[in-house]
Amino acid sequence: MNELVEKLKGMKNATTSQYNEMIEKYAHKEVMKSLKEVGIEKDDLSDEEFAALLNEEKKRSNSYAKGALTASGVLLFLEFLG
Amino acid sequence: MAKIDRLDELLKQYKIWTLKLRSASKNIEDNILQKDSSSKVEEKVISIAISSALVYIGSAIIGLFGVSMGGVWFLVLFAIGWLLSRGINKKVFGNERKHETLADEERALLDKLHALEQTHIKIRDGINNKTMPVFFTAYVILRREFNEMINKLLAYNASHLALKYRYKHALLVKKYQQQADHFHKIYTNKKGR
Repeated sequence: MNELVEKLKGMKNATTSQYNEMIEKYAHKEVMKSLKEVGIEKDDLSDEEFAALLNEEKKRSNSYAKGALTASGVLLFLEFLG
Repeated sequence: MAKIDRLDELLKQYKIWTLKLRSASKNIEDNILQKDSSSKVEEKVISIAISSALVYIGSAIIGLFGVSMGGVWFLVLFAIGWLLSRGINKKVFGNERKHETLADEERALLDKLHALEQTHIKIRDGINNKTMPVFFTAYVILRREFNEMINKLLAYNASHLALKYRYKHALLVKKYQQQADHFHKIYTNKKGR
């Protein structure tokens, strides 16, 4: 998670959609890592199963990133709320 | 062949389920430790809302006497609101608790939570390494462990936690319980019921 926060911090003057894109990319990487850890290939999952895992990870990453960035005062948290 | 496919499907479900179990366990642990990064955002939103409300109400009351407020007074009222909100935030969100400061019962509860998670990680690794040819043979024990864990979580006295975490505890235990039910479902499917 800290890796994500550092990447977001480094994105100067980025738009909200660019932040979201970065969070999505990170979440995808994390899901792939988790699948590897449990011994499952992406192809073993249906699209719905993979989307559910990705969605869950995105929510988690988004929530963590918001908190960490707000705490460090890097971003205006109201931007995220929009 | 269909039975083998079904078994493969159930094993896949079990492996994915271990991730969900880990997530449910971690959520409970983080809640007991009052660790939630989104609280920082929520705290600031509450602070701004309270401060703005105080400025609005204060200026309306003073306005009733025909006095108009200057920028300095807005700042003063906003600052008072901000200070007030800090007290409210402390009650609602509290501070993060360190593992060392937990009571013995709380530490024992978290240790048990970790141990149960590790049990299933070992089973999963056994499946992946093909060192465990028969799965769920210890189902009765595993099921009992879940029941004991859920009873302990339900009996946990969360009254000393900050308001947000106090009320969230019951919800997280319910989610944990859903994962225990999911485990049961995987097992019963395997038995072909």
